[in-house]
Amino acid sequence: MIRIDSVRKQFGSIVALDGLTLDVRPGEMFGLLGPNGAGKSTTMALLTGLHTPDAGSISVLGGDPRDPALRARLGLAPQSLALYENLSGRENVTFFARMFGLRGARLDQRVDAALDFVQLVDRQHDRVGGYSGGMQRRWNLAAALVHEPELILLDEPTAGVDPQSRNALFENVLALKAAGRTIVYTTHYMEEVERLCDRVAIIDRGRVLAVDSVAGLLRAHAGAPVLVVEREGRSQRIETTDPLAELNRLAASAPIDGFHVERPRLEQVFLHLTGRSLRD
Amino acid sequence: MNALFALAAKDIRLLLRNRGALFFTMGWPLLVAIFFGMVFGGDGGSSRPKVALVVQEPHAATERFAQSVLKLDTLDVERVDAATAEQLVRQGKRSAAIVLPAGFGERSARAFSGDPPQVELWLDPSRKAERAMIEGMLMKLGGEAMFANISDPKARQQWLSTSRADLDKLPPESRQRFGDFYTALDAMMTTPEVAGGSGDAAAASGPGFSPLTVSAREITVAKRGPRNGFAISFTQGMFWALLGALMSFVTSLVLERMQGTWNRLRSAPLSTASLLFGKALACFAVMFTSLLLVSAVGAMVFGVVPHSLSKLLLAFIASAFAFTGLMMLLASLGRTVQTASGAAWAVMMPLAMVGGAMIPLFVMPPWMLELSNLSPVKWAVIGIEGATWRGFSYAEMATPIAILLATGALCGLAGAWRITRQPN
Repeated sequence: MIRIDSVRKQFGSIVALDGLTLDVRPGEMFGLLGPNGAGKSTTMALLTGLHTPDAGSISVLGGDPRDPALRARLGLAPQSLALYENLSGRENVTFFARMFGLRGARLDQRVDAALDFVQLVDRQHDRVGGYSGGMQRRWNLAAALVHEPELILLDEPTAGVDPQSRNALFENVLALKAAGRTIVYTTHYMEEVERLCDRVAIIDRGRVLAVDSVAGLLRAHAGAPVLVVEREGRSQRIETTDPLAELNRLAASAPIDGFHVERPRLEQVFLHLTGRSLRD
Repeated sequence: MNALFALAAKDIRLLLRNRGALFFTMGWPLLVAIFFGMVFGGDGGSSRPKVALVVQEPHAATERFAQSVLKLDTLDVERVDAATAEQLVRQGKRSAAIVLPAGFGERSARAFSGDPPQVELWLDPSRKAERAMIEGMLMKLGGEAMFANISDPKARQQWLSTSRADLDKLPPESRQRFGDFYTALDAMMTTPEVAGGSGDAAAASGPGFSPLTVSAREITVAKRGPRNGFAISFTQGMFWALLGALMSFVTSLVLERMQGTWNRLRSAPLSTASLLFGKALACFAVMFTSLLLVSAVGAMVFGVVPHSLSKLLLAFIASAFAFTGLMMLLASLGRTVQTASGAAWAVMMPLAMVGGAMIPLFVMPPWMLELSNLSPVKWAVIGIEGATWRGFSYAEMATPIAILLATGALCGLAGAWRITRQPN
């Protein structure tokens, strides 16, 4: 579906991508996880033909994303709210649908479907400038989906969104995933990747540090789970690959007041791979 | 094509919903045109035609007729000599010259023999409306003069005496009838009921009779000036309409790039050139519509009627095209609204000042006129004025139109080239 091979992209003296290599398979939800400035948005721009790589090659849907005909099969929800504030939500979605060649009855049908999907039919005639940040993000998603793209590119779709709207967006994304769409999802929120993505590429400073499923990344880079045991007023942390066996062993030797298991997180993966926190 | 029209329609809809931008594109130009039209002393279409009056003989009847012309409240008449009158008409400072030639007075003293008194009208052949109006007034005055001859006892006796003396020149069969008519007329005019009658005698003088004849002499206007101040101020208003639309679209294009809609559009299956063409199409449509609006108000309310509608439309198309190209180039000069609009003002204001949009071209000193050739604003002003009051032929329109089209094409291509190469 997507093949990025040793791509390098430089803006002036800033190296945005430095030999980036990725493969995205059909039907999977692929996460790009990295801090701000890691190269996620540049990768999205290359995938939609907005930029041309300085070196390396990119193939999207079997072709060059700079080909307009191929771009008709892509749907991009940019990181910025790429909507016209003085147009209503419906007018925005209709306009972008026209840009992708929809017209007539098919246009109305697809606009209705997109509005229904993001559950904003009731507010369709309000101007976008009057919506909350979360609603604007949902309109942003509707505009990306209205032409039924084969490949959906979601660039930080939950940036600046309240928890309630974030959950609504998650439901939308999971529905797309269930429908078998191929999705590339960039974020710097680890919990989003853990919840949504089949595979994740951790990128930093324009390079891919690791690619695998969340479980695979955790296994390879995050270390073992930590069993935390409370007894005699003291807390004891034990790293173990089998917390239950370790807990049984400890309970046999002395009474335990309490315990919990700390599962490894992608934060540890990032820390392990880069030597710094994802939120630094 | 559907996508291009959708792009243009979107921009026009956004402009219509932006009250500030709409005001500066449609409302402000009209205010400028009306205000400065009044400052320039324009009095619009209600102005009385200005005519010169030339009297080429010292004769009492001629002088009486001249005085009646001078008293007309429908014409603004100034009595001058023949050379001055011709010069004034040629310079466009007078619509026409009414000339009472030698022999006018003597012919006025005759009734139904010989040629009627003749008035010459010197005027530009394009002034058909003024010619019809002035001829009608002269006929009316001729009728009134004839009635004055009949109704005033002393003048009537002199007039009848001259007319009776002329009976010998008539065919024998007419001589008796006219002689009887003069006697009957004299008797009738001495009765009190008729002596106080109206001046409609000319109308009663029978078919084929004319109290005077008007012959026209064509004088082509070498250099026309505007007919009133609004002719200048409305051209300036049109520049402000172009400028208002230009600034709106410069801002709109930069905002698109800042707010991410530009990238979303570029991810659609359209070339960047198509996107820019859609933007240019909307800009052109708004500029052209604004020009039509200002022009329509100028014509309908302030009497700024173009001498050629087709040439005016040509000038509008070329001007809107040039300013659309300028818009594209100026939008490429800044990455933020502040820098782009700052650059646009910095470029457009000097072009406007030397281009005749602030100081009328015809009052500029020669060096400034030379400098103004570098400003596309000047060629837009010249083109519009050429079609409005300068009376340009198509050949004369060719230069400003060609320069405007070339400016639009060059600036548009340069701007598009810059925008397509700028990172987003």
